[in-house]
Amino acid sequence: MKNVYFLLIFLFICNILLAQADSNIVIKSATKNIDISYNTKTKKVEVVEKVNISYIAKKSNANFVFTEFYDEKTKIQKVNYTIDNKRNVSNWKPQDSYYQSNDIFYSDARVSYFDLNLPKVGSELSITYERVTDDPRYFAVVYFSENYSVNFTSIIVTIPKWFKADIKEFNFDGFDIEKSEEDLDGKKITTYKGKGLNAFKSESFTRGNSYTYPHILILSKSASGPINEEYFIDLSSQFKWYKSILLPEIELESVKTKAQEIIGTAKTDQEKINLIYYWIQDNVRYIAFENGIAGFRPDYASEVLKKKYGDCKGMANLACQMLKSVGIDARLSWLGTNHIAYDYSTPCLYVDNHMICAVMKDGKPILIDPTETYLSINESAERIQNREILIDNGDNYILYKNPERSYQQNLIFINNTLIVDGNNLVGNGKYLMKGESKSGFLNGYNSIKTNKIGESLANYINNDDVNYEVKITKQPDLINYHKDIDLAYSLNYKNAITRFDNEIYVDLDHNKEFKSLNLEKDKRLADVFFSFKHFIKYQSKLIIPEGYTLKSKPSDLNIDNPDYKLKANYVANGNEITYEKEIIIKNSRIKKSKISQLQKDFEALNQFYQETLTLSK
Amino acid sequence: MKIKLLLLTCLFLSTSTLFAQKVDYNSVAQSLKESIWLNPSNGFDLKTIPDSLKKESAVILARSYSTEASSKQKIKYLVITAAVTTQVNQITTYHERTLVNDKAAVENYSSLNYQKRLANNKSLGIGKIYDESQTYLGVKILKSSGKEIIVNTSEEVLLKNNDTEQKGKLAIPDLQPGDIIDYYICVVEKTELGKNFSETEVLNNEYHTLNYNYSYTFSDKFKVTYNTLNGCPNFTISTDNLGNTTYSLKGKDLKRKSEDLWVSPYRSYPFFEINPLQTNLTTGSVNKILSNGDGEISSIKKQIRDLLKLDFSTYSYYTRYANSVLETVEESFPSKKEFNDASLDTIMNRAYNTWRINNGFNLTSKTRDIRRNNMYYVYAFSDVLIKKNIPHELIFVSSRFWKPIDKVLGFDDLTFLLKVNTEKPVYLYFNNPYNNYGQIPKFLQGEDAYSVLQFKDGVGNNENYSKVKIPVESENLNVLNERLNVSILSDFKKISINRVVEETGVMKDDDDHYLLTKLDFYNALGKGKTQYDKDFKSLSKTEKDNATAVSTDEETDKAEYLKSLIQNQYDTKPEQISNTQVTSTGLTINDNRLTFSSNFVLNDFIQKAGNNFLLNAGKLIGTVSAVKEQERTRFVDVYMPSARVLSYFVTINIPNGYKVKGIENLTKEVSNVTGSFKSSAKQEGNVIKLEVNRVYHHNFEKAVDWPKLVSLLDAGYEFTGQKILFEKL
Repeated sequence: MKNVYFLLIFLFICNILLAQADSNIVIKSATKNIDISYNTKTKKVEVVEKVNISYIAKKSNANFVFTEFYDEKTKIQKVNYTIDNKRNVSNWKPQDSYYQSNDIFYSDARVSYFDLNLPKVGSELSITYERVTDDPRYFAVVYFSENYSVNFTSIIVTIPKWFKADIKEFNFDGFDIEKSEEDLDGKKITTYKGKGLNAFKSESFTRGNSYTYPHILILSKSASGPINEEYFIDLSSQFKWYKSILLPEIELESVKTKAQEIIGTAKTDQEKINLIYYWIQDNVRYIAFENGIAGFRPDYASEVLKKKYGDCKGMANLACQMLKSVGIDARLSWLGTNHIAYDYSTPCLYVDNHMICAVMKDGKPILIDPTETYLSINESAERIQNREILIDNGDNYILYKNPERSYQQNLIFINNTLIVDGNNLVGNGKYLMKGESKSGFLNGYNSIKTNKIGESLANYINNDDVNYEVKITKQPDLINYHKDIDLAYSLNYKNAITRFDNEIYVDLDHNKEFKSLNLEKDKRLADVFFSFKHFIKYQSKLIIPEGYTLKSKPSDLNIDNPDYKLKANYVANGNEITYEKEIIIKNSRIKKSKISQLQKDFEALNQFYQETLTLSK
Repeated sequence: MKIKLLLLTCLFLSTSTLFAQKVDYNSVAQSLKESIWLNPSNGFDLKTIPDSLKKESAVILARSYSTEASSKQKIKYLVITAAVTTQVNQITTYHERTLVNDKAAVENYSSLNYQKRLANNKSLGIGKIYDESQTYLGVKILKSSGKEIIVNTSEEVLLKNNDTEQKGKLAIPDLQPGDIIDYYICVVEKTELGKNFSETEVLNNEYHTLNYNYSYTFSDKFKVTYNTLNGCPNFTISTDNLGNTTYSLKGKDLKRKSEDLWVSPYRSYPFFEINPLQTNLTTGSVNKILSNGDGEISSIKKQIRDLLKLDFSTYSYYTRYANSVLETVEESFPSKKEFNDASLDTIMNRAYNTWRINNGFNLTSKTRDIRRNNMYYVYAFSDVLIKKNIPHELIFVSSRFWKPIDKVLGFDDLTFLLKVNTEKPVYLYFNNPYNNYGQIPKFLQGEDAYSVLQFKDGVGNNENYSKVKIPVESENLNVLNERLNVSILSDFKKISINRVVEETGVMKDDDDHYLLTKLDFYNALGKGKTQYDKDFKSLSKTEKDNATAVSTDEETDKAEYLKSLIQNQYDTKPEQISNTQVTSTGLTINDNRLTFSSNFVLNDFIQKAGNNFLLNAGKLIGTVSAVKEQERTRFVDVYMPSARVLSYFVTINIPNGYKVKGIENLTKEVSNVTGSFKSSAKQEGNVIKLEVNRVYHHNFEKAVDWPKLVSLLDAGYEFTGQKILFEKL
């Protein structure tokens, strides 16, 4: 959806600029005057954001990059700069292009950009520009942080009395931000003053910036003065707006014909749902297409069917229309994935970035997300778990919270039985993958060329280690994505044994997941977000060679708390030793306050990894 | 698809075209569609692939590339479209029909990016110079059921759309594994500016190709040179009654490119180049196309000099500069007599270093960014040496990663060296100040070359021409020597390392660019800190700021580079990097070793085993890449950067209270004609002394000798897995 790319763009800006942004530039002061007013010429309510930012170079030849995004609802104008009070030449203007990214097939977002060299230490660059948004629905987010660290910033929001809007504040805790309000000339002026703010930072294990950086949401409700308009008074009005932009479907007959062909002789609703969902997964390619109002409007189902590609809206619509055509109660549904920190208590366009299909069965929804190419219908991606879903219910909506799934959904279970053969470990193993573990594997697997696939499955299991020779003895079913991946292999782990005199040293853990996890806890700004809740179970049984006994083994590791479990131990039983490991990420989000302990616990896991088993004669 | 599109895009960018605004785009598009799809060249009717290729990701059933260029008003090919025949002087068409077998291939062919229109028309007084191009495309999908779907190309999106430029993107609908995609991109151009078009194509593609066909048609206004190499079929040449000459080649069954290590594609795969020069150019600019491609070196040399002299003021600047360098050298001697008594080698060494000083000492820019126009300097110094009656040779050579010298078509293909016949002849390369006096760039070593011996006799200037071979520097000139002192930290979890690295020759590459600062240059080349301070003082305020920034950046870059160097070598993040020093710059002939040292701490080398612990001693030489099964067979020759020696002298301190086991496992020896891997270890008191030598005798091996090289790589890889035990006493 359109908001996806706003957010992606935002991330893009951060990532690109973090790569480019010269840490030797700081923002001395930034002022953003946000003024909501009625434009008598266009007869529209506008949000005019006047920005004035002064940057200081901490070294000579510092490279400054300016990028601002806009689209058909917004424009960037009156861009000017001075360097050390020298104004840009009169015919100068920023460069301009469509926004392009590997993740997005097409977007109508445009970018205004330029770069400048700040010649000397202490050079002061002052930039002014205006961003005008001609529909208040499209304006909501204002961040205090920038791509450069900020010494001082002020955000002044001026709202006329005839315009109803709420301002919501996010992530202010721990930041030096003051707020004041005053009424002046029939306007309410809200002023925020912030000091010492971090620049946006690219960190591993993160989601969107809305979780981390201080910002405000301006929620436009209505105008009743020079013009009478309703925006998003509440969620109901947002839902109605979404519905209002839907187009009546065309050529539904082709959709129905195809749906009938897909379900064949299936009798139960569940069979029909499964067949249609899996057919779309298999046959319709996801591409992101974000264009104007269409950024919120699904493509016709018949068009998506014809082209066999679509974005999340189009794919959701195709699923809905196909299911409806065979008598299933399927509904279009809107949501924001976990990339976004907000829920529907803040009605605005920034709360949504995704569409799916909900099938109503016995009053309860079954959620179908056709963009999740490799998940079965009973599995749910982390990104939509625990998220509110706005389900079409005719003139009204159903607000449904998609329940959180247990880590058990994403199990990886590796089970080896090994014997010592010279300096090698040989034996057999089994590998089971479910949920998002399976989905991640299949995504990678299907991006590999067929001529390399023979080796790729083995390479996945052996982590590209030529010493860990794997031969697949039971091929997994990689076609039916709704099934778990279940395979078996024979194994020759070469040089796994280190032998000195009468002792041998064995390391039974080849994978060592999360080894050397570094969260940079001292510099970290964001909470830790795992992409999904991991559940890794590892069991490796070693037959002790004749004449040998267990001399020493690593101390057991057992860390268990509400967020994660790290358990690893060796259990001796007769002539067998079994290595058991469980790594469970129970919560995909770990608060920043717990990161020190998290880092410490994973260091303990790392330490366990660095110990071996000793067998002696 | 991407490769070809890139080619077409480049074509657009490097040439210019005209297409009349009023031409009906749709009617031209329709004509082209009919012409291309109804008159396919060989293989475009195929619908199946041989069983042996069923496991390929995709198979190109046929691909065809054609260009017709003319200075005349008519091109045969465009007779189909009367509306444009008087407007067009080049049409280029790429047509491909591919069976996509899997999702990876579907993804690769799922969208098409193209430059739809480009106009660089220029007003000139009351007239206008046209320079414009327009692209047409067609895509159809053949489903495995036999159904054919013509893709509606008007569903494209425009990523750029202004008066002068359009960039298009088309998502390919309904493409699934098992389908055939048949598409073309056709670029119609006209320019009234001179064209400078040349093309080089390696025939092997990302996918196996069953049929291919290339065709180039030029009017008699073009003088065409071409090459076909490494087994590429020869061009068939024919001329029509309009005077247009067509060069075409075709073939079958091209394997997909392999992904081998150390490959020189232009020496390994069949490729061709074709180079048409429009002979009626009137722009007067220096055109870098040589009309003489037959290897007549005297002609090439003369033409280059003539071309250089076309821009006389620039060339005379270089010759004046070269002259001043020789004068500076002369003045650097205490007396005329000492200068006259000095050896030619001493004089040239000083001259070359003067050039390095002049070109490497700009305090306000990073030294590693400096690249100079070698060709100008070689010619200019040659001119000066002729005047001073110093015999020398101009060497014309082509890179090991480009075509051989006998196949060059233009001087863009050439690299130049100045060979001065001192007691031990030296080769001078004027590209960057890191290059030592006499150091031959690695990409030229071992290449056949042409030499022009320049000397003066009683009559005047003389030239002798001969074919020569550029020497390959022996392994002993490209040495990496690491000395490590390793201690186990008291927690028995990490190791600390004091490492001293010495590098010579090719082994210094990159490291010298990032580890040497401006001051290192001053110190190495004889100007010293005093001169540095003096030069700094003479700068303006802004220049001083810049110089300070450059200096700060160099220090930051150096620290970051060293960190990444260590991380890449040991495959783990280093901690506590300290005492980093560059003790020898390697910038001079007398001290050609780059020496740097630092202390750091590493994880992942120790495993606890009860009361004992294992040390991964083999990994102390760094990681060595494993050769995978599929990489063990090789059909293309091996082009390594250089012959080289990598030596490691490691001292491991045995912790108190422990004894060592397994030292004997660290001894290994593999040796063959390509090189050797030798390691040995011994205990001396409370230290273990480990010595490892990895030697590669040559910079090139035939494919047939690849297994011998693999045996060395295997030995290295196996060694890096060797552990020793520290047993508690």
